[in-house]
Amino acid sequence: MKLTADIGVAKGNKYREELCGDAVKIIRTAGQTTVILSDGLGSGVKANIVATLTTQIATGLLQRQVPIEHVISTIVDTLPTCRVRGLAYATFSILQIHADGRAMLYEYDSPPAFLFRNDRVVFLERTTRTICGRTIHESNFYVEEEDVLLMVTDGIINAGVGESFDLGLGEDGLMHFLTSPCTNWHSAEQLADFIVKLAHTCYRNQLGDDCTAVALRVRAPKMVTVLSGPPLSPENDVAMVQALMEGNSSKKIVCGGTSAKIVARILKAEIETTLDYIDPRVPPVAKIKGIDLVTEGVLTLNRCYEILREVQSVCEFPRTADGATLLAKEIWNAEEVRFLVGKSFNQAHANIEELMQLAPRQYIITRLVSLLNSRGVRTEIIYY
Amino acid sequence: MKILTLEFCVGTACHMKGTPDIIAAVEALPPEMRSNILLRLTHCLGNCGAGPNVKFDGILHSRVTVDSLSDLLKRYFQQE
Repeated sequence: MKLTADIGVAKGNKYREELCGDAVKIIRTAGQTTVILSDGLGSGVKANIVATLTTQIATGLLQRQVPIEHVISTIVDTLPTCRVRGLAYATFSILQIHADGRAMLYEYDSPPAFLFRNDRVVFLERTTRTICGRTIHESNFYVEEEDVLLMVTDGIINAGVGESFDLGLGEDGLMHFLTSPCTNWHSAEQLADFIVKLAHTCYRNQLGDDCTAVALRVRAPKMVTVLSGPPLSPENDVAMVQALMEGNSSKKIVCGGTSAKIVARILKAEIETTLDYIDPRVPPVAKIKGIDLVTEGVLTLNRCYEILREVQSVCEFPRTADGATLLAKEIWNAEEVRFLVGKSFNQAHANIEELMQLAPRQYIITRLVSLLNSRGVRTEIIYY
Repeated sequence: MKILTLEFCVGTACHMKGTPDIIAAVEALPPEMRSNILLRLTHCLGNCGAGPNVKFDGILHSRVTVDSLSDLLKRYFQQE
């Protein structure tokens, strides 16, 4: 069975610091998901630069298919050592999960990652290797659906040191909180948020160090089908809607007013448009029974493309529930996106698109597809 | 008094031509008038070339502006 993971990232800056000295980078390709977490020594701008540098070097090399050993040796070789402390400037953890469930974890001086299975912590056996004179902890294991992996920086492990706790929260303290029945979280995003909030509490709202939590929840790949635009010939209306409705596991999305009318007519369902203008740039969403999301067309797709181009992780999504953000989130979480695109052109849109410098439907979908492909999402476009 | 149904098109063309402003104007009407209006949104009224389109008491009005709608409302409530 093929596996992938939902990833939640939450960060907290050290009290009175404007920048976070931790950096996270996520690389998704069709066959694997890689998470790189780095903690720069100290805090503020210096820590931020070295942590970012570490994740960027790793990302650049991994994307060029450089073997992980070489990536680590390059980072370790490149990382400067602090003259005062005699320590490397940044620690890092690299976690790779393959579609077949194989997982590889490499840790350099960072707190150990945890694996939760059925609400219990699973011990990960680690071996040590010396690369360029530095000790790297390595772990190879298999993940299963619903497994949860957690990577944190030492700011979380040391949370509340000398204040709430003599020795800080500690790994055991964190495990205790996470496995206690009163801890309630449902998604990777919520878990990461919860951990950073916990650190805030331990530090009495004045974080003594930068805190970052990355949570991964292993799951089966998700598929999304997006129908947009009326077919060139109305004879194809039924075929297009049938293509949308096939496959129970796929999320079904309709983008466009006329498209929504066609879908509602063929499904013999009502369209109910909500009254909320959440984002003035994007018209409100609607509801059709049996369809997961119904939005307006061209404006929503253009805004969705903007959002997806800008965000690097889930926590960067706008906190609004407008049509474009909802669409972008659904697409972000999917490993396979199928576009059913009607080629009929609404003449009334021609002037508006030109005036507003909006990309027409087919063009914006093509751009969306190349953006998704560059992020390892499988795509398909079927024209009608 | 009979409740007046206003159905606004929020399709791409109508949205770009100013439907949100007209909806905001309706929302800002004095409470005695606003409470007699049922506001509904729809994704297309099928007359995209002549937006913004509004179905006023079941009758389609095109190229509606804040002023023209306000005139329609005044006339409607005077008759009622």
